[in-house]
Amino acid sequence: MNEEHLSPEQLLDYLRGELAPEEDARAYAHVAECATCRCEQDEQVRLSELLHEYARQTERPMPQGVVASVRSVIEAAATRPPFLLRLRSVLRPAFAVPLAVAVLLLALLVQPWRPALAPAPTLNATALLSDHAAMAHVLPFSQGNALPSVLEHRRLSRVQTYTLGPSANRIADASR
Amino acid sequence: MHRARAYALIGATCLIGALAGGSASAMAPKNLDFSALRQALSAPAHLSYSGEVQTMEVGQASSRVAVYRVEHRAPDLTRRWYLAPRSLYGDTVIVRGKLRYAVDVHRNRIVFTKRSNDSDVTPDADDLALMAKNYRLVSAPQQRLVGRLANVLLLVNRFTDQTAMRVFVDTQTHLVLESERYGPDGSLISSTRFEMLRYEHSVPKALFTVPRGMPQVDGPNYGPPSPNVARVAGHAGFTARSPRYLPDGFEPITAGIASIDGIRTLDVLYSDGIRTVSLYENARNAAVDLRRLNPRSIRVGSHLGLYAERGSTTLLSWRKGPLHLALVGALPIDELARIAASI
Repeated sequence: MNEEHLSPEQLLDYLRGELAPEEDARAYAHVAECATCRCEQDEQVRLSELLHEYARQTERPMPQGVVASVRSVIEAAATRPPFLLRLRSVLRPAFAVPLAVAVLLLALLVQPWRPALAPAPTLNATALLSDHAAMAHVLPFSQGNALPSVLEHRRLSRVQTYTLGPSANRIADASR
Repeated sequence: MHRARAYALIGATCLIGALAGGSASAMAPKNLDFSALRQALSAPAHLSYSGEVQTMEVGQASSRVAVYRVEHRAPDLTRRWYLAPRSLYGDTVIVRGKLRYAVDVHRNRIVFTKRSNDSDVTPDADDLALMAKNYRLVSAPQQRLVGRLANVLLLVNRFTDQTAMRVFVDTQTHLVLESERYGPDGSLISSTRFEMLRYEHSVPKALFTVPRGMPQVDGPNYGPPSPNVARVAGHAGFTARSPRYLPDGFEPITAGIASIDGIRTLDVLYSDGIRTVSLYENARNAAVDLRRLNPRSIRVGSHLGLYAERGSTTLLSWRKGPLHLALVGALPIDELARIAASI
């Protein structure tokens, strides 16, 4: 399982309760802490509910002649009816409507036109702590970091400050 | 005869009164002007020395200590060679005026940072104005540190009457031998002190040469922030928020717009001259990643926030509407939460 985020497949399996118990527990813990996956989960649940509601509203009783038609089609298949005849039977409303609904639901669920969900950006906590210490250096006797952050941490946070014109007093003239 | 006794009695009474008054005034803390601190700030500009320094930050969850050898050549060359912690052993920081080279021997690189100022070498006496506005300077009995006699100066908060800082200044050279900061409950939250010190007539310039043969990488670029907080907030690209509550004496000092890990972030530094807190805001849905710092949750008004500590500094992060916000400072978490709730 991806340590960072659940894949769409994993998330769907998790929502359907189809994950193995250990994977399910990991997914549960991850979704509880990860705002991105929680947001995706909420979106999937909302979409699922929407589709169920749509299916419920469009549900119709099975036409009386469907069974007989199916039997006749099976019997006819044994005698190899013409292709157009078979196509016509498939395109009958009793089949075409549910088929169209199924295709629509599948498309809405998969959403192939939607770009992959990018992980939400995060700010490095160490960068903020170091930046604060650097800013506080404008004050006299500021001690800043006990340990220099550029040596302490493997990763260099990219902090680039935009200068917004000349400073107006001496405290602000000092650097960060 | 009676007149003589009366005069003697009056004289004795006056003498006792004078002695009592004298001892009372001697016992009362004496408020000083800030000239002693100004001298201390400017001392490294004309003093060369070598020694060993220990810095310490004390936090609830963890403490951080560093020990380094230091050589300083007036006015603005400084070299620190780290002895501890083990992860920094052998690393060196060389400050050459506005330029800082962190020689990272563990990763075989030199991290270069350019500053327009550096607290080690270019103190600015005028910066004491905010401190003087919010703190009284009181002298305490002299003490001896690293073989030197030191004047002990207390900075007492004018609003709370609590000592926020204690500074030990060499009586002869005015160099700061030790400084300590205290929390609102009086506990020590950080200190920087010389463990060994020797004044030098001259420290060889060669000590401050940046080693060759190591790749040099650019470190964080800290440009000069602007004092015009409102103007900077106007450039943030989103409607910035500001606190309606700040601890007594705190006021906005500087503001800047920084790109931190590619996220456009507005930061504002508030201070009372000694204590500081920074507010960070972004509208890019970028939360602070606190996972490595063992965060805990706390209620910020009607929102849920997370906070974590590193040494004496606390970082509180929360979301409000379209903004992600963070407060960073060496203040108690309940004080940070109160500031956050007012934003």
